[in-house]
Order: sequence, then C-alpha cells, then structure tokens
Amino acid sequence: MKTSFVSTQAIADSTRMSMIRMQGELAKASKELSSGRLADIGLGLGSRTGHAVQLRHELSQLETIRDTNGLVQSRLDTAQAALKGLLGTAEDFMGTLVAMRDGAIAGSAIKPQADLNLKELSGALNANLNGQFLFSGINTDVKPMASYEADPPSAPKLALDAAFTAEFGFAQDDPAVATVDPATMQAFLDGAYSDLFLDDAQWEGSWSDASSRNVRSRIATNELIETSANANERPFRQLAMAYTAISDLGLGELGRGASQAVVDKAIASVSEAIQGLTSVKARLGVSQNRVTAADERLSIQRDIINQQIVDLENVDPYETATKVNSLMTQVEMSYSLTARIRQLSLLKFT
Amino acid sequence: MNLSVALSSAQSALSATSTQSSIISRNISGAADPGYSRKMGLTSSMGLGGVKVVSVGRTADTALHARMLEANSGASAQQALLQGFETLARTVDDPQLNQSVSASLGRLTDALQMQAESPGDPVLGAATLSTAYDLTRTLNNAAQTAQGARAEADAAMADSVDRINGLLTRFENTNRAIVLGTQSGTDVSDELDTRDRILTELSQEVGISTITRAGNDMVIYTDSGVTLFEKSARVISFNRTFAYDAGTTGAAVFADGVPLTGAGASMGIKSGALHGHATLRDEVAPQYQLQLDEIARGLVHAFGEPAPGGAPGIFIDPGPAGPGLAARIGVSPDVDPALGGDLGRLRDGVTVNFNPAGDAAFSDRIYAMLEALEVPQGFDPATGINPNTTLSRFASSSVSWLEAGRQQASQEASFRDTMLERTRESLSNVTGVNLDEELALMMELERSYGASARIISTVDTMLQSLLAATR
Repeated sequence: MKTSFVSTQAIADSTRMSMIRMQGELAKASKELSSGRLADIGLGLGSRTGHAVQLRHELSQLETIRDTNGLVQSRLDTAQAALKGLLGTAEDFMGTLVAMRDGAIAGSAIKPQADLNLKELSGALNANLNGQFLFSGINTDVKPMASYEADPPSAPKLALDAAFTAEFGFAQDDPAVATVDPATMQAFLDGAYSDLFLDDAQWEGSWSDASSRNVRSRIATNELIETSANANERPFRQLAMAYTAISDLGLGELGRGASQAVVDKAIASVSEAIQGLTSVKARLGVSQNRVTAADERLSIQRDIINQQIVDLENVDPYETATKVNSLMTQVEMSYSLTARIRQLSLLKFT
Repeated sequence: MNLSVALSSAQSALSATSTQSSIISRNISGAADPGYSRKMGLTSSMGLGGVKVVSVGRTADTALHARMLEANSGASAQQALLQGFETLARTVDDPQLNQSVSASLGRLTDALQMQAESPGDPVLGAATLSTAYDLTRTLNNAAQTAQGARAEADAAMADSVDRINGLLTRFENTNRAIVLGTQSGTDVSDELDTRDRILTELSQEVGISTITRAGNDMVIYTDSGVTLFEKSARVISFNRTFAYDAGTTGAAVFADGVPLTGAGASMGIKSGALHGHATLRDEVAPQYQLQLDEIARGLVHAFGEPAPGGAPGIFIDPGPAGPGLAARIGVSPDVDPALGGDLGRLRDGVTVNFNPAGDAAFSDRIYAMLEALEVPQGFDPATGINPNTTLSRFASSSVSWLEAGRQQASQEASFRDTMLERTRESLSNVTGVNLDEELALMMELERSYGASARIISTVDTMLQSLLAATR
C-alpha cells in the first residue's frame, strides 16, 4: 500500500495555519516598525518588565529633583545677590565710619546714611521669591525683619527707647544726652544695647520673625542640604546694631568721648559683620556648588537610565524592517501556494 | 462452472461495487470534516467466485488520538490561564503609559519632592493629595481587576462543568449505540466517529484518558484518574460563587464527590480549560491580590507616623481588618479639605503635629516620608517576590512577577498550540480522506462495474444464442 498518506484536510490546513501565524507576526512586526518599541512590552520583556517600570519611576524622580534643584538654585542666587548688596553697603559704611573717627566727616553727616542702610538691611532681608521670604528660615510665609521706623514707633525702636531711657533716665533726643560720660555709654553699649541685638529672645521679640532653622532641600535622592540663610544669623544682627547705633543713639548731641565710644562700637560691629557675611555667602556658595554638582550627576544618571529604557523597550529598526519584508514575501508565497494547491485536484483531469 | 454461476458472480460484483461506491461517496462528503475518519469496505469472496462487502472498516490510530486529546487539554488549559494573565496585566499595561501601581507611587514621590521645596504652598499640597488619591484608586482598581478575573474564571468553570455534563450525557447515548451495534454486528463506524468527536470536545474542558473494553465499550478517566464515565456518566457538580473578594475561596469541582480542583484535591486534574481557570482563580489571582495587599500595607506603614504604637499617616485602612487591604485603602480624611480636613497636615503630620510652630516651609515630615519610602521593609514571603525591599521595588517586582507569568503562559500556549496542530495533522493524515485517492478508487470501481455489466450482457448474448440454437 502507500508509504505516506496525506489527507486533503491536512493539505488545506497546513497553509491555513502557517498563514494565520505569519499574519499575526506581520501585524506585530509592522507595529514595532512604526513605533520603534516592542509591540507588547510585558510579553516581550517578561520578568524584566518590572525593571522597565522601576527605571521609568527613577527617571521621573530624577526629572523632578532637577526641577526642584532649579528652584533651589534661583533661591540661592537671589539670596547671594541680596547678601552681596549688604556686604557692599557695609564696606562703604565702614569706610565712612573710619573717616569719621579720624575727624574727616562730621557726626551729623553720617546719620542719614545709617538710616538708609537700616532700611536697606530690612529690605534685603525681606527679599521674596515666588511668595517665599528668603531669609525667614523655614518660616517663609512671614516677613522676617521689622523695619526700624520712628513714626509710628516700631517694635525695635520701642525696645531701644525703653533700654535707653532705663539706662540714662532720658530719651535719645533729650538735650541731656550731651552729659553722658563715655564710661557709662561704653557700659550701655556693651550691656543692654548689645543684648537688644545679640540676645536671641530680645532680637526675635522685636526685630525678627524668622525661624532660626534654615530651609533644607533634597538635591539628590540621598542628599539633603541647607539652602538658605536666616535673619537671625549673627552678621545681620551686628549690621543692625551698627546702623542703629549711628542712627538713633543721639550721636549729634553726644559729647566727644561718648560719641567716640558709639563710633568705635559701630566700627567693631560692622567689621565683624563683614566677616560674618562673607562666611554666610561662602556657606551658600558651597550649597550652590553642591546643587550644580548634583544637577550634573542627575543629568548623567538620566542619560544612563534613558539609555537603559531604550535598550530594554526598543527594537532594532533594521532587524524589524527585514523581518517585515521577509514575512510579506512569505505570506504572498503562501497565498499563491494555496491558490495552486486548490487547482490540484483529480477532478480537473477526468 | 456454468453461465448462471458467471451471471450470479457478476451480479454480486455489481452489488459489492455499488456498496463500495456508496462508501466512497460517504468518504468524499466527510472529506472536509476534521472528525471524520476514512471508511473502507472490507470485501471477501464467497463460494463459487462471488464477492461481498462483509463489513465497513474505519481507519483509526488510538495512540495518536490519545496524544491529540492530551495536546488539546494542554493547549486549552494554557489558553485559559493566558486569558486570565491578560486580564491581570491590564493593571500594568505599557510601562510608557505609567498606569501601574508602581508608576502611581512614583507620581506621589515626585509630588512630595515638589512640595518639599515649598511645603506651605496649597497648590502643591493639593497636587500631592490628588496623587495620593490616584495611588489609592490605582490600588483599588487593581484589586478589583484581580477579583474580577477570579469571578470570570469562576463563571468559565461553571460553563465548563455544564459542557462536560452535556458531553458526558451525549457520550453515554453514543457509547450505548456502539456497544449494541457491535453486539449485533451492524455498521457502527459513524457512531465511533461521533464518540471520538465528543472525546475531542471533552478534552478541551478537562484532561482525559480512555480505555476501550470488550465490545467497544469505553471508560473515561480524568488525567488524574477520577472516573468520568463507566457504563454511565458521572455527575460533575460545582457551586458557582458570584461575588469575589480577597477573603473568598472558590468552590471546588466534584466528580461523584471526588474533588477535581482546589488545594484539597489529592486527585486534582492537570489540564483542560477547567484546570486553567481553576489555577487562575485559586492560585494566580489570589497571589497577585496578596502582592497588592502587601503594597497597600507597606504604603500605610511607610507613611505611618512615628508615635508610640504607630499612628496613621496619609494612607489609612478604614477596616474591618482582614485580607484585601488593597481594595479598602484610602486617603485619610484629615488631609482632604473636601472632607473637612486640612491640606496643611500633609506638611505637618496627620495624627501627630510635627510642626507646632506652624512654619510655612517646614519640610522635615515630607522628607521623612520620602526617606521612609527608601527604607527596605519586610513583606509577606508568600507573595513570591523579594520579601525585604523598598516599597517601590516591591511594586515593580510585582509587575515583573505578573509579566513573567504572562510571558510564560503565552509561550507555553503557543507551544501547546503548535503541538496540537502537529498531532492533529498527523492524525488527519492517518485517518483523514484524500479526495484524489477516493476519485481514483471511484474510477477503478467504475471500470469494474463496467466489466461486470459487460459480463452480464455477454452471458445474456450467449444465453440468447443458446436459446436461439435450441428453438
């Protein structure tokens, strides 16, 4: 009998089945060709799909941190600009003070400059970016510095007036200030007057509403740094102390010795403040550098992760194109084969 | 030998030829039917030279047919399982679309990072709240999908059981006809085809093995050895469960009181659609649910606030305690202004106030939450994924687990399909009809019919000459 038997059904089915399979693959391959990615990521990657999901998660985290770093950077820039202004003013004032001690400038001439500087100090410390006060520490929704105004008397002015009156028994604008002797003035300056600024409770009670805690920012997934200065830091207090001393201790009326003590005190404060400001600027500068460095690292990481996602999810377009071509040829061949097999019947020949 | 013998043997040849051509026409009409097996007329010679079709034979290959049944069961089990995985994989979709739980968690982390830069900003707070809601919704939906997949599998099992019962009843009738027909010696070849067809359909639902006993009587066992049919059909029973949640255990399928599915089945079936659906309902979907529950638990834990005994944070379990946290987990009403809460608590702490001074840029709590997400936690090892890792890695591992299962089921299904095709092809090549062959046979019969007719007419002429000579 026959060595191998083929049923009509098997002949018809053989092309049908391979056709279905090839058409399915063709649809998949052309989708991959048009999108450049695997047609079904989950099916294609299997157990590595979670890795792809995790990479996307990390990527978006990096992008977000880069966004927030941009905000941090602009905050630091603004703060640096404000500090630079304060430093310049303090250095000018220092020059004026030294000239005044040498007798080159009259005491009354320097008071308007001190008033102005005091205004600038509170203005600079009240700098605001996107509704956040830069020098408020973490208490960013509150103006950190009170302005020193005489009318109506502000809290720091009242505190000073009270301290002055308590020490000498009369107010600063009283003609009696001329009678103050240098030793008492020196004691007042180093005692009650310094306390108004350098004592935390008094400073925060009258001058400042800032929080002493600086804002912290997460500039990389594992890097949390301080990214602000606050109005409670010592150089700002010393500046306020020096400007106020010249502005509102009755310098014009004081005797020579007492006014010398006031000017000396102011010089000492400003000089310390200049040093202090420089170190605050340096500290913020370090933060700026760290943010920049973190940004660079983040963008390198982002590129690597992007590449990894591409490696995982994307297909080789050339390979896919070749696959589509060969599949199309195969399908066409299969069509013509089917047609010819249909022709192949004994019925045609009998 | 004489003329009348020649006449009668030509006559018997005519009748044998017409029987055979009727068989050929049966074969031709069955050529397109995959369940049809080729029939053959078995002829034998009678005394004095006549021929007769004594019986109708049928090509069959029991071993191939058994292999085909096995391949069929395997393929349909994998198809059913794959279908379930496809449903579950809807909770992940394309990673680019960021629809998974893991991606949702990522959005929450991003929103917190943004908010930390300006913690007092209510717009950013609202953004964090909306991503928190998005995350709980994603978890709730995923849990719902998992339970929906179980309910679908349960319904498919009920359908399958109905079909099995129907097929067994039909099988009983056909088998009886075959046994009776075999005893009385009638042609049962068509009934045998029908019986094989029923077996093929049956093997789609449940893996079976068969034994043919004396008198063509057949016994059906499941692939695990439970009797489905012996003399009469066994009743397959199943109580449908309509509503599923994480705590629900689906009912088992019983054959004559012996469980075929479920954890307690010592003779559980190993293939067929029934097995595929049962595996999904009782193993795959519950495990996925457990993973989702663990993600939800990890979330509540990571956002919980440090207080003696632990205090709830942004995410809460509204209770009652028990499995299925992923379906329950919600956002604390204390942080939602629409529910009388306060957005500021996202910054200051939900239960414990970490910011008594009310500082606007207080970011410690937000950074603490972000840090807590980076700390590895312990997860239930029964989830089948790394039990000690960070929440986000656990969530993405769950994606991996699911897609690996889907990939495996898909590959297995396509392998089983190919195997089924091959076996079916071989079986068809052994038992099927080749039209060309039938046509060739037909021509042969035509010739032999013509020859027999010619003999009759020649004998007739001879008889006529004889009669004319004797007149």
